[in-house]
Amino acid sequence: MPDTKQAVLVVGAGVAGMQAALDLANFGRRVHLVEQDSHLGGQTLRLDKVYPTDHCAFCPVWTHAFACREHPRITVLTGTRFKGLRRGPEGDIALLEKAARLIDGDKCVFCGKCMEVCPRKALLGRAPDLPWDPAQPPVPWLDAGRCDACGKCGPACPAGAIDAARQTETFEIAVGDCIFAGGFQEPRPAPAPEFGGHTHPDILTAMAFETLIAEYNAVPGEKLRCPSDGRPVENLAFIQCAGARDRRFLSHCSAVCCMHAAKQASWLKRRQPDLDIAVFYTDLRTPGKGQEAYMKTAEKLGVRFVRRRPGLAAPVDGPSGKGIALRHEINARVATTLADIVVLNGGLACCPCPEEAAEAGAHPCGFCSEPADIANSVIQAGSAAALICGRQTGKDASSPAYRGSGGRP
Amino acid sequence: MKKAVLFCTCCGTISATLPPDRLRDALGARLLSAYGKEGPQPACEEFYACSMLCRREESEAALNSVLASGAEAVLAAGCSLSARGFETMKFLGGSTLAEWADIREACAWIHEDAPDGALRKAADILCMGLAALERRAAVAEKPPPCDFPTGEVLVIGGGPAGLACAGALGKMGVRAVLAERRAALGGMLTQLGLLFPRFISGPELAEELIRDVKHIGVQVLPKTTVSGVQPVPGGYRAVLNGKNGEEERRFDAVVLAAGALPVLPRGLYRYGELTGVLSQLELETSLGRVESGQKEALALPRQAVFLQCVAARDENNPYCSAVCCPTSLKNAIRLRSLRPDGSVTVVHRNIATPGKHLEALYRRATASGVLLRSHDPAVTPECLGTERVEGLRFRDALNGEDTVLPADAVVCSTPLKPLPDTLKLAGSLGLRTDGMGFACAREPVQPVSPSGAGIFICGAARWPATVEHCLEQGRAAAAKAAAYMRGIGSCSGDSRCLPVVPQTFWELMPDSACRLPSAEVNGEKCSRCGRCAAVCPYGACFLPEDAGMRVDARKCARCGSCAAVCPTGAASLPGETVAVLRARIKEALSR
Repeated sequence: MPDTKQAVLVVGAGVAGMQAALDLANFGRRVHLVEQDSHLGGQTLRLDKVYPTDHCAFCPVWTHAFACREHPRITVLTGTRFKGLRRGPEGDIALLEKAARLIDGDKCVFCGKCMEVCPRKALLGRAPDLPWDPAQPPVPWLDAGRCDACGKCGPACPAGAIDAARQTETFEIAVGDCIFAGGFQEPRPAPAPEFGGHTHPDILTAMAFETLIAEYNAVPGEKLRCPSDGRPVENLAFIQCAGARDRRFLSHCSAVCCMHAAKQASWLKRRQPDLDIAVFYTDLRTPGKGQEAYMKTAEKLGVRFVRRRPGLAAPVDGPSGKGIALRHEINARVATTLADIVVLNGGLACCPCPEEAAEAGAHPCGFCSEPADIANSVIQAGSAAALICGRQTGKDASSPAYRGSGGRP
Repeated sequence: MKKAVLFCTCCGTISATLPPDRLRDALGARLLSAYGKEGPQPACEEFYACSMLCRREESEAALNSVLASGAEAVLAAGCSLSARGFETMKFLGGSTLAEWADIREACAWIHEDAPDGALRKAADILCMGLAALERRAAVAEKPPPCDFPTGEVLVIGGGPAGLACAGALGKMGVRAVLAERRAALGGMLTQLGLLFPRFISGPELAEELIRDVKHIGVQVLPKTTVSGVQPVPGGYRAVLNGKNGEEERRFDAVVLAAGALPVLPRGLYRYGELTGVLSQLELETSLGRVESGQKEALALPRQAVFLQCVAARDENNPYCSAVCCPTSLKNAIRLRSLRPDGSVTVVHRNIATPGKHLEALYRRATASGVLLRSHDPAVTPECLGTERVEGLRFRDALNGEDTVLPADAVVCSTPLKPLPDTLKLAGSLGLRTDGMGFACAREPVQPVSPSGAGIFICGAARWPATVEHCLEQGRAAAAKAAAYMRGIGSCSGDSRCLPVVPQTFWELMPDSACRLPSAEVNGEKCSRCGRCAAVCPYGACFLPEDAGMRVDARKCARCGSCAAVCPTGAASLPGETVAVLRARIKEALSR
């Protein structure tokens, strides 16, 4: 029987976690899919487009999220943190923590009455940094910084979904196996201080830049403007491997950034051909399917790829111009170039699988185990799911019904 | 048929604009004006208002009371499907025909300032829903035709990906048949002495994988080529050429893991003309001999130069082959440790070692004294020497100067290329291939599942991949294939009450109880023109010799292409059919 007694815990509901959950559940295992965010989709949801197809990320992610929510064998636990895994007498015990939520998503009918009564406009239809509401069914999004707990929303709710006194809950579930798909994060503070990440509005990380230039934010015909003072952007510089492949910070290569830069640069070039875009790289890595051709297209569109790693990025405002100055050393001579916006690419840190969970036998997959783009994350997830399903059923344990024609009339 | 409307006031947010009694009157007036007292109208006998239909208790109570009054079909009106509608439909779908109408987001909320117009629009929306309900009830429900499954998966190729896939399938309890064109299993693994990044032995890994596959009971067919795979109703028919001669066999699913072979640098860099210009595999072999003590270390080159991207990233092979940089670094490290007195240089365009493990390999190479030089691809490097290679001339990419490196061996690092047979196989399976000859799936979110049901790809036939990636892809394909095999045992289900959702969603849940039935062909209307078979992207339409068109329920993805091209209207999709859509539109225009 493929249905073994205990459920599998999948931590993280990015593309890898969702794929692992679907593969396990389609094979017949029960799955608890745990996500600390309020919605499924992870970092992919913050991408406007995905390479190498240039399709928007929303549709595939939405379909996966939808399938996870609707799957009869998957229990989705959003707003829940994974706190640890320990070996119990009859299998593993996972410790989970459900964050205190003002609005109970199961009760909310999204009628909007709480948003109307909120005096500080702390309740919004959706999170402002996402183009759509990813929570399904939708629930008003709480801006915790604005809320002063005045308590007016509670009585206004006709469904009784609001309870300000709700506490964080900790609970345990028994699991047979665990897949850890924690994904990546952009470290704060930025790993390489010489590039000034998070110190100036015109020095952006790649994910922040994705939001800035996203299709849903773009006004047709409108030029890209600097976040600092709104002047039109003429020069744009990408610094690759910012903080990565660097023994001081992250020694690994983040594997996705070369293509990510090519994607952002080429679609900006299409939108605004007069923009000067330079990508400063150490090694241009395009080993994945269709990636070399994608990079060639970017070159043809006029994106400049320069093999060089700037030493310093600092804002200047003087007679020579305004912007971010990049200092390079070329054959022992120092040169300076000016850019209006600098995008720091690379430096994505893996969210590692907690040690005690790994010892208890959790399978890491996706970016957290090995930096990977969407395709490779999904492959890693499928592989982890196959290992778990294979180990549990085994050849002898499989039922004749499952082993093909034997069980059919 | 008696129909009822369940109207959700959504705690007053809908009824503020659309009061229930006024809406009921508007609906009645709308039906009366469109059809008169007599005509065949989509009548509505019951109008039931409730305040929160999305609550299970409330929707079940409402459903019970309208069923008790004799209604057979229910039109629920409330928020949009993407809000609470889909959830609520599941409560309503159990016992009756149901249809959903969005009158909150699509009407009450956006027309707050024009309540009279909102009422008319809401009445229109409800009438369209009632018309669709009427039509939907008329669609006969048939269980999808499902052929008797064989329960077997064919895995083509016994390299690392194929072995990993067959082994994983076996462990998951699925019967796998592994066809390998050579006598021995293992593929490229048998030729690789040590594997990066962990420096384990290739043949040993192959042995382990083969042991696994044999122990688990996978049927291995050595010296067997697969000359073609055709979709047939219910599965695939493969032509196998093995020791028993040509044999035809049916399978439920097929995994393509046919791999790829390194290009030989023939005619390039004076390979074959100068001694000492080697291919990567030739160096790999001699390194293996030295490591196993069959040969002296002194036989290895003292001044080795690895030249990357030979016959790759050019016009003929416009791609980066992903495995050559790490392979060169691995062999450079081996060479450094076997001949510490020598020098090793890797001349590259970009060192492609993405990720954690490969980047660590890169650092290990530089730490062990391997030199890395980048060359300018605009100037083709040149092997110097007469009879024996003496050096390599190239243009340095950083300072732009022409440089000559002394060398007694130049190792040409060439890309992997799929076999011509793979291309033919992919063609017969209906798989798309890219310009380079690799099979395509649906990048990036479904990298091992092409659009055809029951076909999967993995390993270097998909794209050049390291051994670790091949193993991962093999297992990932096995997970999908096992889920598919489980799914085809239980693919029937009641679909009438479910709204239209993207077909990819149903593919993600192959065995879900709510899987929609396939397209169907009305044999009486079918003229056997064959247009649907020509247009079906999933190979699901078949034209038997003596009967009308048939649809394979397992392969059909409900894309509707057959219905769109059918000149006689014989092909259709159950559920949201052309007829239902037409009924909606007709109703909208009827006033």
